[in-house]
Amino acid sequence: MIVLRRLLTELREGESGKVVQVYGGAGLQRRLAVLGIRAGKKVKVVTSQPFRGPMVLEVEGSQLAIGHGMAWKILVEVED
Amino acid sequence: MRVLLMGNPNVGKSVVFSRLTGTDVMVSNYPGTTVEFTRGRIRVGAEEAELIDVPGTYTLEPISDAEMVAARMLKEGDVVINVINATNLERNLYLTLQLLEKNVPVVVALNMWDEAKHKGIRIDVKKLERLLGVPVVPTVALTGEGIDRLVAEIPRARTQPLKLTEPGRWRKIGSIVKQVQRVSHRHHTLSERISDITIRPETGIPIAILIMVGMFLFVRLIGEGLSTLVMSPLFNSYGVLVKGLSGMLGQGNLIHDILIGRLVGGDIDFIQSMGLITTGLFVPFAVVLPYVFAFYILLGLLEDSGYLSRLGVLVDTGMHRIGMHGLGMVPMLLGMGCNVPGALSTRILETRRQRFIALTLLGVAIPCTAQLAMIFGLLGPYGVAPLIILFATLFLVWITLGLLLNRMMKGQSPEMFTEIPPYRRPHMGIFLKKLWMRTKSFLFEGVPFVLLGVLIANLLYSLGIIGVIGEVLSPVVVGLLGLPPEAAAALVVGFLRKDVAVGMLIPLGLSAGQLIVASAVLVMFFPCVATFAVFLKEIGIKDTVKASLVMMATAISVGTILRLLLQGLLEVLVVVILAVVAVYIGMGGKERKTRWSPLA
Repeated sequence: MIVLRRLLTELREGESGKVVQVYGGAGLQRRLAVLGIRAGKKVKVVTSQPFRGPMVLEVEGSQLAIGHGMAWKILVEVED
Repeated sequence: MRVLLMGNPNVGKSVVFSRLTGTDVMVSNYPGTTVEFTRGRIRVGAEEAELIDVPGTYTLEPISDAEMVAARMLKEGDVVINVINATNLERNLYLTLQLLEKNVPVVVALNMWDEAKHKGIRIDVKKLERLLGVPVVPTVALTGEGIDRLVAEIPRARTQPLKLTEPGRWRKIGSIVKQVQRVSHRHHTLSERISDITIRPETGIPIAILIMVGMFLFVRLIGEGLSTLVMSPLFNSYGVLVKGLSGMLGQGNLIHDILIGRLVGGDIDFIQSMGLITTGLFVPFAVVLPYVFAFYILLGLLEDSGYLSRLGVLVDTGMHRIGMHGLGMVPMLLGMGCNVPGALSTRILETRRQRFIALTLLGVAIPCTAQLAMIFGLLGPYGVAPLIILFATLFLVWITLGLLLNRMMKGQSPEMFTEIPPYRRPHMGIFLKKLWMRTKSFLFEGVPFVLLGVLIANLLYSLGIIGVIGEVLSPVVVGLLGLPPEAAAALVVGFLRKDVAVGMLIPLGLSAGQLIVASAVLVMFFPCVATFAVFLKEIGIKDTVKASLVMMATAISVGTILRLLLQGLLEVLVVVILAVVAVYIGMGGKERKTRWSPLA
C-alpha cells in the first residue's frame, strides 16, 4: 500500500483522504479545525465546482463548503 | 437575570427561543438566519428573566465579527443555554468547552435529538452530563419535546472550572465523544441522494435554473390568479359602496379628493383615482398582497428545506466575480420579497466591502415583489417581450455594476465557508408562522407607506406641484429618458413606495417602450425609504450616499441607453456590447495571477 500526500484540491469527486496539515494562519487553522478539518481527520470530496469554485466536503458525517483557496491549503494523505 | 442562548449556527437556537418565550422569530434551515440579537422574557421559577437569542458562532475567539460580538455579549449574561446539535457532537462541544472555560453557568440543550436517532446516533446523556459537569437536556425544539425540562434545569446551571489549550480541548472532546456516543452503520438516505444531485454542478445547475423559472411562473400564476379571481371581484362590490360615498360627499371638496380622489370618466378608477380608500387600498390588497403571499410561500420552502446553502455553492464562482461569495445569493433572494429584510440579511457576508457591493446591487437591480406585481400589471398588456427586456436589462446591470464595483473597490472578498445543512422536510407550523409574520409585516409596515405614498401622489396632482417637479427634472426625464414631464412625479413618490410610483405611470398613456424605460428607471434609481433606513444603519451615512450616487448614475445612464435602443438605434447596441466585452476581457486578464504553492 502506497500513501501519497496531495493537496485537497487534487482529489476527485468521491475520493477521500486523511488531513495531514493545514497551511495558513492560526485563524484559518482554527476555523477549519472547528468544522472538523484538522490533522488525522478523514475528509471526503462530495463535489468540486468548476472554475476554481468551492469544494463540498463530507467530514464527521456532515457536509461543508469551503472556497478553492482554502481547500488548496489543506494537505491530505491518500491511500493508493 | 439574563439568560443567553448560544450555540453553533443552524442548531435551532431560534426555535428554542420561540418555544421558550412564545415570541415569533424567523427560523430557517441555513446557517446565519439570525443576524440580530432577539430579546424576549421567560419565567424561571418565580423569577422573570431576559432571554437573548445570540447569532450562531463556532468559537469564542474573535475570528469574525459575529464571534467578537458573541464573546462581548457573554460578559453580560448570567446563565448560558448552550444549544448543541446532537447529530454533530464533536463540532458543537468545542464551543461548550470554551463556555465552561469562561466560568459562566451553563445548561446544555442537546437539540435535534430525533434527527440523531434517525441517523443511528445514540448518546448516553447521563454520562455526558457527568463528564461535562453541567445539566444536559435532550430536546426536539421543533415539537417542543424537552423544553419544559430545559427551563426547569436553568436554576441548576453550573460552572465547571476548566483551563485547556487548543490541542487539549480537542483531546478532551475526543475522549468525551468516545465515551458517550455510539453510531450504528446506516445506508445513504434518500435526502442525501437528493443533496448530492442538487449540489453537483452537472445536475445541480439545471435543477437550480428549473427551480428559479418554476418559482417565477408560480408567483406569476398564483399572484395573478388571486388578484383577478379573488381580490378584484371583492373590490368590484366594494366599488359600489365607495361610489355611493362619493355621491354623498360630492366632488370638488378636499375630503372627497383625499379619500376617493379624482373620478376618471365619471367613475372610480382603483389605480388612477389616487384616493386613500380607493387606490390606497386597492394597490396593497388587490394587486400586491397576492404576489407577496405567493412569493413568501416559495421563499419559506426554499429556506426551510436547506436548499439555499446548496444554491449558494452553485453560484459561488459567479458571485466572486461581482465581489461577493455564494451566500450573497441570500440577500438577493430575500430582497425579491422586500428589499428591507434583504438588506438586513447582507450581514451573512463577512466584510464591509462585500456588504457594500451586496447592498448597492440589491438596491439597483432587485425589484421587490410589490413593485413587480405593479409592473406585471403595467407591462402585461403588451405581452412577454417588454418583461423580458426589463429583466434582461436588470440582470445585465446587476452583473456589470458588480464587475465594476469589484474591480474598483480596494480589497478582496473572502471565500465561502459554510456548513451545508441536511435537507429537512419543512415543518408545517414553522412554515405557516413565518408566512404569517412576513405577510403581517407587509400589512403593518408596508401598507402605511402605501397610504402615505398615495396621499402624497394625490397632493402632488391636486396642488399642482407636479408641474413644478416636472419642469425641474425635465432635462433628465424628458431630455435623457424621453418620458413626459409628469413622469417625474412618479420618481419622487418612488422614494416612498415604488409600487405606488409604478401605478402613477398608468394614466400617462406611455408607449410600450416608454413604459419599459420608466419601470426600469424606477427599479434602479433609488431604494425606497424603508430600505434606505436599513442602508444607513448597516453601512453608515457616507457609504449610503456613495451607494445612492451609484444608483442614480446607473439609473439615468442605463435608462438613457435603454431609450435609445428601444428607439431602434441598433448601432448603439453594438457599441455597448463591444464595450462590455472589452471590459470583461480586460478583467479576466487581471484575475489570472500566479499562485504560491505550499509544496514548492
